[in-house]
Amino acid sequence: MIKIQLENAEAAYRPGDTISGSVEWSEEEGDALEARLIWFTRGKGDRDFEMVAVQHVANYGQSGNERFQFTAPHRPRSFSGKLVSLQWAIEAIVFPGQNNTLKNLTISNSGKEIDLLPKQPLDSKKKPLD
Amino acid sequence: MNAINQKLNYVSARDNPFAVQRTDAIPFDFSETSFACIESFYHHVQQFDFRGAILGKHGRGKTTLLCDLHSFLCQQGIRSELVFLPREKHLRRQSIDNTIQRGLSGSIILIDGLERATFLARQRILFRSKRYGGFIATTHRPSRLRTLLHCRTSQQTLITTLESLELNRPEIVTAALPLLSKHCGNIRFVLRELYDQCADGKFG
Repeated sequence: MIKIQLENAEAAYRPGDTISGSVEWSEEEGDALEARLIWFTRGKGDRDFEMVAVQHVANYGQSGNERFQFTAPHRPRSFSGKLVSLQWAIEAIVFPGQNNTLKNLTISNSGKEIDLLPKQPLDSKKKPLD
Repeated sequence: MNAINQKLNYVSARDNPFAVQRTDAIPFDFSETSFACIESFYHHVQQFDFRGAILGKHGRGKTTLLCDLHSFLCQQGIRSELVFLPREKHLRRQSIDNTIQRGLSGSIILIDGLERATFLARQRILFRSKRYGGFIATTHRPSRLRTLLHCRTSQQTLITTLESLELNRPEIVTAALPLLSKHCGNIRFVLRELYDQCADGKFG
């Protein structure tokens, strides 16, 4: 079992903020564990993914916990639209089995995901035809 | 007013149940084949020394089957490499060279989209494939490789897919079935159209 705990309980960050927390694991067979700061897309079509930063756990045993710390990058920001959403997350992954767990977080200027969903129907501004 | 309410009921990509991260996780449906599950397909492939082709048109599940086979081989501790041939020409050459190298090191090569390679590149891969640990490719048309399975879809395949997504509600099934003939059996296109309908709030 792998568990990720963020110090910021709201998991909302501004660019440049420190993202810190800890990863705790127990009874995990493997050779190594990494904590990663990643983003990925969800939605329609091909998926995109980037591993922005990685922290290796120095002394990996079957159980333990380790602190991690990353700096929230300036881009890309978290957003959600109809076709695609961009999600930031901390991923903890054990090798070689690649058993993993994710903790989602938000990175944006407001600390909230940028909402790209239309707020009003596109045709509501049209004047009615005479 | 109803029209406005309907328009405001958009579903974000994050919450769309037809999003690709969900649909990609659906295992291959063997109901249109003579195999019961991935294990029996594995034994079939093993009989032919892990050499052959998975045939089928677009959206019939070839890539899904190849990915499932790759996972199964990994579980069995059999060294295999899954290669998605890039659509971009300039990346393809490097990918093919890497694939050949990995094959020659004894891995079973599972290659998706062999038809994307040029005729000469295909001949080069196939010629060298005799020295690989195994070679299985997805293609649209029969080739020099033995056909291991011809992927087909049916209404039942689509219903099973919706069941896997836990979206086999009557209104969704009713909307989905006509799309299968519209897209000539291409399940991927059906799921993409259902994604759009869901994003526009059609399914509540």
